[in-house]
Amino acid sequence: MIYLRRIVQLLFLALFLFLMLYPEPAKNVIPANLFFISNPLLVITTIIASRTLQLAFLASGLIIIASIFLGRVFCGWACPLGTTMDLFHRLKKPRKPDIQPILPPLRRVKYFVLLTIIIAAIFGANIAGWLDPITIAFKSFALSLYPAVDYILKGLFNKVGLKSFISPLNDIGILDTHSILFHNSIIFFLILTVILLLTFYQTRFWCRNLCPLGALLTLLSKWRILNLSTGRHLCTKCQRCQSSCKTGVFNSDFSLNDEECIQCFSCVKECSKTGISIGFSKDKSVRISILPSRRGLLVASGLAVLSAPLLKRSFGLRLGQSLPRLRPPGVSRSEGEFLSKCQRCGECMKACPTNGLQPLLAESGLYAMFSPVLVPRIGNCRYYCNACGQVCPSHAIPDMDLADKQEWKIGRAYFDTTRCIPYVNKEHCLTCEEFCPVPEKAIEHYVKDGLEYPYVVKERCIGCGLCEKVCPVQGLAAIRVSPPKDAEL
Amino acid sequence: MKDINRRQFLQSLSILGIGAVASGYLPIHGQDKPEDKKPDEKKPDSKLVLAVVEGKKPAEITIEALAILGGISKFVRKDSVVVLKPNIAWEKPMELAATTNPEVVLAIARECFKAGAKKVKVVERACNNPKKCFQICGFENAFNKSGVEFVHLTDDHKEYKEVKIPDGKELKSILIAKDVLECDTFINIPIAKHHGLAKLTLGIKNLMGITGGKRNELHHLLGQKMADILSVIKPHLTIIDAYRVLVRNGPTGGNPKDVAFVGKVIASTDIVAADSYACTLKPFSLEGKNISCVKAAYDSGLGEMDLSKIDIIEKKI
Repeated sequence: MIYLRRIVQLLFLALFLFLMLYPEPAKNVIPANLFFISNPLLVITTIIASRTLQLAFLASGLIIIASIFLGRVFCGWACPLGTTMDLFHRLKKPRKPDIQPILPPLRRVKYFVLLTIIIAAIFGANIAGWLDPITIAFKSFALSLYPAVDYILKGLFNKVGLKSFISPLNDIGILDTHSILFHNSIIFFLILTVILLLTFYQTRFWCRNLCPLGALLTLLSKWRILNLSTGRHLCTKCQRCQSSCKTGVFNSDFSLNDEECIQCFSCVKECSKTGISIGFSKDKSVRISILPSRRGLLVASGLAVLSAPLLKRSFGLRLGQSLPRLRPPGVSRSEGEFLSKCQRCGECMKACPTNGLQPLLAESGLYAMFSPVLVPRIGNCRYYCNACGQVCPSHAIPDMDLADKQEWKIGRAYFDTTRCIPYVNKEHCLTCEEFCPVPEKAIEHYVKDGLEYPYVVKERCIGCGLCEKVCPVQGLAAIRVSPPKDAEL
Repeated sequence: MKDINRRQFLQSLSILGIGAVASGYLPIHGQDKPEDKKPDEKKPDSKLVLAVVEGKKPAEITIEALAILGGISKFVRKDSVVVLKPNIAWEKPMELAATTNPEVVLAIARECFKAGAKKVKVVERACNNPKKCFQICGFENAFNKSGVEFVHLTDDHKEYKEVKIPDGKELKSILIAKDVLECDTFINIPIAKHHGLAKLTLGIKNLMGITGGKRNELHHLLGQKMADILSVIKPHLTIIDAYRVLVRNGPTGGNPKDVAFVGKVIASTDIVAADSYACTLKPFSLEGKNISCVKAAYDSGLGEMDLSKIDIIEKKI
């Protein structure tokens, strides 16, 4: 059974990586955002925070039903972050079995994390994406590790002249010619590193103590039918179950916290008398619940209630009036509405073929952290592309037809005539006009004394940012895109 | 057991490493070839010939134009490497006439193979994402299983070689794609279309797609700079695709209203002559001297701009 579990785990991790690396996510038969639309935590918080329902959210029903009947099987068998932790833990030198500290107070933290997320959602703040294990895994793999591996492999193969080795991968869009990078993405790597290193202190430290999705699934599995039985009449008190358990289900007095069980079957394999089994009958072992006390919940709720306004008002910026950003095409013009739907999962950033979509850090307030923003100097919004909308799990970026997307005004380009080459150097340039992808060019020029001076035709500009990207002026471009005023839409 | 494993691992790692580094010095790209590959400057025996063929099928008129010039075997020797340089710079479907018609390019590639070419490469440094251009412009479909190799040039300096321009007036040196410098025959296949800065982009301007470095710096005094580049890398043959031409909002286009149907292909060994003729096409109604690239190339003595001095053979199928 334990081998079956490992195979299933690896298959799910492979599926996760496959969906992540698939070059044109929209053309994949399996939805690229499968792990997100089937994630009950993200789905519930998005429904609460944005007050909208979507058909795709039904996919999360599978995990909810599985958890109600079978307990935290998702954690033990499918979660890509959990599998990564298990794999990483194998690096640890095998020592004599050690009994890991159980620490019930620490284990309650995950319920408070969940509570804070739900209460923030009630106040319209969707912050699940910061702490949800799937988004953590996706961002650290797709936005941090993948660019690093890409960089190493390309450097390695290009430098030593073995380009032909990676060109087949190039052809399917992996390790493509242009380099990808994401602002501050080392943060995602550090988060993953901390989570993985903590497994040396306790196996699955994250899952035991912090994971809000784990907390939610535990609560759902209150009346599960799959149970752990210890067969006490056979027990020799060898404590192997205690040292093998990934989530600390067995207490030293042989009572069980089996609501934490992730059905990993390690104890079943380790038990010297094979007295432990996982099945549909419930034995008479002493069971201890480590749900938080009522008082703890009340105090935490009180604090959590504060968290949403604190976040939303962080940096003194008011939602909707905070520093306007260039958001992906089609998103709500109201910053607040967009952020209530955005799960900060990073799918759009990975899907963006020009690498122009970047994660915000705190530039727009802490509340907007990890939401996507278009940085034209790095990459424009491609005229023939609507990939971000196709992969967005919560439709914070709507799935628009290409024709509609091509008319959507992300922003508007403005010339900086104190930097623009014809205006300043009196030299010919017009690179921006050449590249402008709009059929009826949004950049035109007039000729004075034999020199062409470009200007923007504001009605036609869609703010794709290609002009800003290709502007030959070093550093700050001489044409830059700003979010549009309401009057210009 | 464990120690041996580690040692074996380190051994194999170092062997791999040495092998990988060593292979980097092997002349995989043929850098060591002697550098006498300047395009032949042989003038045709008789008067300069310009072929203009009109018709309904792009491939047909292309082949006919080549036939008028004496057939492709005049330019392509057996077992030689041919480089084709169409315009595949923009992510626009071919119907919008921002990029060279793939059927024209395919017809030429097939003729090259017929003449015994060992390898036919299509070389382009695109302005948009090169692979998307390749798909959207219709090349992926047309060239499926054709045996033609596509070289998508990037910003990587290793793909280019610096070439000195001894007679350059504005440029003293330029990065040019190694693939082009090392080929036996270089065929330039631009599309005739409008361009904001250059007015029209034709054969000479199309050479920008084989240059490396920061190309937008060429925009200042574009005509003379392109003429300087032409002085060191002259295509053996220039075939201008004027099947559909873009009249406004070039070089990217995008509006079907801006596309005019001309149904012609213009071919010549003289790039300036071909460009000069293309300026006079109906939808443009210009002259060679109006276009800075053509004018500068003529003034630098790189070709004939005066159409009266050219033997223009027109044919309609």
